[in-house]
Amino acid sequence: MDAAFIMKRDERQWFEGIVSSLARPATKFANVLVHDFDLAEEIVQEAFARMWASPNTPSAEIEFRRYLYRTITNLANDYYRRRVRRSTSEAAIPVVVNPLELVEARASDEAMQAALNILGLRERQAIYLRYFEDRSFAETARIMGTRQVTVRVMVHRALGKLRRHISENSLSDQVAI
Amino acid sequence: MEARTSLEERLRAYAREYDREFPGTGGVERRIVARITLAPARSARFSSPRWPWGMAGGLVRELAIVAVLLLLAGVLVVGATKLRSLPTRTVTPPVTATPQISKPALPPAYWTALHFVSANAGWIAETKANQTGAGPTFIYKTTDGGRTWQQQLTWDGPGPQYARFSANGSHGLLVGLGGVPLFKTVDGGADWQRMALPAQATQVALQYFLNADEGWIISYLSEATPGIAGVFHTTDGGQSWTQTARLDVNQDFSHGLSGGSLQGNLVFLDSSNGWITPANYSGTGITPVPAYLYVTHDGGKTWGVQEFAAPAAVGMNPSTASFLPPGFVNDREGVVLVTQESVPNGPGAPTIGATYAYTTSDGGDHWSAAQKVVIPGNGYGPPAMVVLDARTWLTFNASQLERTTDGGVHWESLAGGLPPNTYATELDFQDVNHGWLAAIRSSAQPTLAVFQTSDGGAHWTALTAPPLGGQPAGG
Repeated sequence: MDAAFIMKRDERQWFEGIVSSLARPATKFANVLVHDFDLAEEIVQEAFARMWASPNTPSAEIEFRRYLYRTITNLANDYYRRRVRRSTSEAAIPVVVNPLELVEARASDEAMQAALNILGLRERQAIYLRYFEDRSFAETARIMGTRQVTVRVMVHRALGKLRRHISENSLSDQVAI
Repeated sequence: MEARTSLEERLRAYAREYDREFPGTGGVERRIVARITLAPARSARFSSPRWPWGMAGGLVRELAIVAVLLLLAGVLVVGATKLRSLPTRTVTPPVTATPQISKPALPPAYWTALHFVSANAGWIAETKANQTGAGPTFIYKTTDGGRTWQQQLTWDGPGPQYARFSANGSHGLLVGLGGVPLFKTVDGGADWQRMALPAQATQVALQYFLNADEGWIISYLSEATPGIAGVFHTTDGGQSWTQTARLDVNQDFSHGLSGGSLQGNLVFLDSSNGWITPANYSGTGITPVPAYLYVTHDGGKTWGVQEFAAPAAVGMNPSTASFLPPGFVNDREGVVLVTQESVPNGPGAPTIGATYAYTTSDGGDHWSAAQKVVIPGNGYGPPAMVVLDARTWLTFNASQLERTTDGGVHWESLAGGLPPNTYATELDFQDVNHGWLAAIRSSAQPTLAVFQTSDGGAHWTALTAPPLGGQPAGG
């Protein structure tokens, strides 16, 4: 076995290890952004392919993860931009089953689920990193490519939106007697 | 109005539940690996050691930097002096080939199922790759051993999770994720009927189809009390369903956990005996119990726990044991592979340990002591595995197709006859010798290919691949 082949195999094994450890959190992250499990899988696949090809991809896992999440965010943004352009000219593609909806439906806190859906993409991203992945504000800011203070403000506002939405909807459920 | 801390706690609780119920991502992992396997090796920057300074102490690093800087300075001084003394001339730098690294091309489609019932008759499912949701999916049938293919069925959506056909090929069942879609044929695929799930099964969590007629789904029920699931059973390919049990998930599937979950895999050996592999969790509220599978002996009506003794001197428990579903080669002999994993509480990559095999010769009533096995590939978790008999297994988790004939102790590569850069994505064996393999082949525009072996995978013959969703053939 020649040295070049060993190196190639070794790199792929390393990358496959990264795929194995990050595919699930990355898919969960993408899901929160695009609300479509199949699309999230496609985006994650595309993001990993770009990471594999890019000479700028960091090799340390923590940096790799930041870079991956930013790539996923960019792809999610691309998707929303394309969808806006397409929505005027094309019929919607029928979705047979959306496992994300099943996941969300299984979550018993329906009020929270509904409230999360009203957040914007960036707010959802910040809330996900902060509360679903327990990231610090500093790390969330690094992943989002913005300043820490911006993330703090974004999370604060998002929590306010969640609180208001949950509060308003719980009030609207009450019936006067 | 809800206080901030209370809202944050509620958000975190929601996040934990979301994580617990999130579907498996093994499929996307395999597609990513398939795609990068098709790409050329990465650039020199990638090829550098990944921990260039990780082992070096700070002092050593600083000394090395100073030394390199001094060396560079010396080279510059000497070089400049020499250059001044040389006559001026034009130098053409030698042209060296720079490898062009580009993003691995997206294959036009993926194989999502493959099943042959004889040397001549078989079906294959092809799902188009795109970024607007997976699919559509196309089902093709061959009746001449893969020389020609006829498109029988198409639907918008991901490929089937199960493709089951009777031995004579007359009865067939195609089942997607979550039971959608569910197509049935009783005439070899000339006509396909779309079946409905039971109305109460609104959130299918687990499903398994033993053959073209019999299957189970376990679904959460839309009831006021959350966490109640129904077991639904069919013996006529989904034409009719019977609810055979009503289960409290938090009660019946919470062994060692503070709350129950239906995340995992369901498998049945026969109409009575089945298993669920639980997902492994980390965090608080987990009781240290031995590694286990959920087991039923009455067709899913009631479920218990079947514990697996940890290998000697190995600390394995439900948080660290990652099970593959039991694989059976007949009604008595089977094997369960479990990989020791350590999943951190919070962000971070799991630490992967050794893989162990438990075998049974009485239909899963009793399992052997754990035997350490070697799994080819990267060792990052359980691979896709085909169990041909108790000791002969095939795996194709990386670009390698490998076989063991001694229960995982030794492995041999089965590359004979397969063109280079061929990545197997679906395997189907009728017996230890006769099998088919669906693959993606590397090129600037990756293509799909189908191969056949009649000597247990030692040699492969290329068959014709069906066209890509009505377009010209892809390879």
